[in-house]
Amino acid sequence: MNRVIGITSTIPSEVIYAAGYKLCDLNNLYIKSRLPMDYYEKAEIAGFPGTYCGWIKGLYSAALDNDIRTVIAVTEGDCSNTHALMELYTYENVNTIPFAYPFIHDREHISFEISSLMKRFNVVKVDLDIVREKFYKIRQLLHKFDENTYSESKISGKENHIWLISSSDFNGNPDKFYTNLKTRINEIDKKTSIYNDYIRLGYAGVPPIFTDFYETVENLGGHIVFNELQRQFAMPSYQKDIVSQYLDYTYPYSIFLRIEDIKTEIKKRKIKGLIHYVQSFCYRTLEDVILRKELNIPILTIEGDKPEKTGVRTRIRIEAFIEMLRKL
Amino acid sequence: MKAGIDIGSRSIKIYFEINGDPIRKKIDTISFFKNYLSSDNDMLKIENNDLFNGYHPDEIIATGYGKLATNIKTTKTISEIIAHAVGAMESTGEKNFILVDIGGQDTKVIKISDCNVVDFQMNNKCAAGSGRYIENMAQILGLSINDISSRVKNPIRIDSTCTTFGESEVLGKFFEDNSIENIAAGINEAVARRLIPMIRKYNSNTIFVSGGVANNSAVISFLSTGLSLDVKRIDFPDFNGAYGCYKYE
Repeated sequence: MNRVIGITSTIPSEVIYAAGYKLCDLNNLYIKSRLPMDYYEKAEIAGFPGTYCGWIKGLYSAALDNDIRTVIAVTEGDCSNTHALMELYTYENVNTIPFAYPFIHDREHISFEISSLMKRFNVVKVDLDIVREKFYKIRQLLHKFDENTYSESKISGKENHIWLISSSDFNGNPDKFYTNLKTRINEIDKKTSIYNDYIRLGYAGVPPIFTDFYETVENLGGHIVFNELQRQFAMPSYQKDIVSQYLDYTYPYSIFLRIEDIKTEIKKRKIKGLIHYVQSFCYRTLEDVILRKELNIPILTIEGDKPEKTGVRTRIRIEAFIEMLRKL
Repeated sequence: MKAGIDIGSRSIKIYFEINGDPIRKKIDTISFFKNYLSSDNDMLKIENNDLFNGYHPDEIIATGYGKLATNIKTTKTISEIIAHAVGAMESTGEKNFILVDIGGQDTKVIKISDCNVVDFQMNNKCAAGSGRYIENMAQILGLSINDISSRVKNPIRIDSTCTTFGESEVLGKFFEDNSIENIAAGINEAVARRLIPMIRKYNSNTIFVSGGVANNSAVISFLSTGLSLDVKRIDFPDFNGAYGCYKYE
């Protein structure tokens, strides 16, 4: 087996690193590539319909183009298209391993999933705990970075997004990730605040597919001080055992768990408005209905399709939203 | 002297006052860019003084789709949502209401509470049911905008308000031997029907309509019937954004 294992979404990465493999989050590989639109188009050439999720298209092409021979696919709690994506990978001779965040949110079910993964990679608890300890330190540092984003107004929404989202695979090298993050935090400590006059915004939903989303918001006077799911990727809740940790992880479970988390953070971070991003053709779009009813804060819902720049129409709406919040 | 400009997809609307008298001007967008602007160090500058009746405004507030392209030094730009909200509040004197603005490509539904915009909806990727849809359908039926705007009786059910695909549905209705008048009424009803869920979301009894499509009395009538409310048209509805810019402080 090739030492790099692709993932379609976050999984208990501790298990894979404890087994001596490297992880590669295919979402990051796709969107951080020089020309993500190429991946998107390659999937369409392969036959993916136009009316299909832009992330799934990229995941498909990114794995094939980069010779990823094994992919752990999250079959529950993430994208509803993953089953078919696994079949397409299998057809292209990519080995697939399923992992599920069970709809029934309890210890028994998630424990079974993690144990199966450990068994699959021959990982024992002692080795897992060593990696967990190491990851705990990295995540502590990420939380400090995240806290600084909303408390000091020095860190851009984009940089917050990038560091947090990269914790799904630690860029394939957790040690280097830790060192780089530590250096960056020291650099930022010396800076002065730059976002004091910006409107404090939260971002909820899956990561944006737009290639310049954070820059656009910032240019229009918004400072994103809360990236909901990205923060979850960095496991804000530390628990003594891995099962509890992945039970506390809100992203793959019900919207109601996420809403509780968002409510707490809105208050803590003094957020004036929330941007809810939905991906075209994604089932999560429906969750917008509940989010709007449950959160007592102005919400702008925006929708992205392809890995391209934030279009004029979306830009106009973000501009109006920030202006509206400024007047409120 | 101050002026408000709304740079829309189909036309530019200008509002200013001379000795307290309101002046409203409407110019085709392409013609505005061709005849009234000149390039000045990567910026565009209003050259033609006729635009402001020979006056030189020292403050120009702009909004609309093309506002960023104007790049005029003295221009402050504001978002369309705010411009339309201010325009409607100023011209109606109301503090709590829903504003429906139907322009050439845009449809906006804005909720105003205690003089603040508290929420809005705006079409994103698709111009279905906008002014351009009505224009295209009128052209297919060989009607003028004025002709189509008065048709309210016996509407034929039309489902697609897509500016492009709507064409085949309208042609289909025509081949089914429906009268042009009834199809025209169906087009107006379809535009109103598309808006009703967006308006209902906000649960308000005071609804105003602005934008070029507000001049279509059939759409207003279908909105009133569908919502069981007296939906009102803003005075000079196509100038609401420009007026809002003028009144913006």
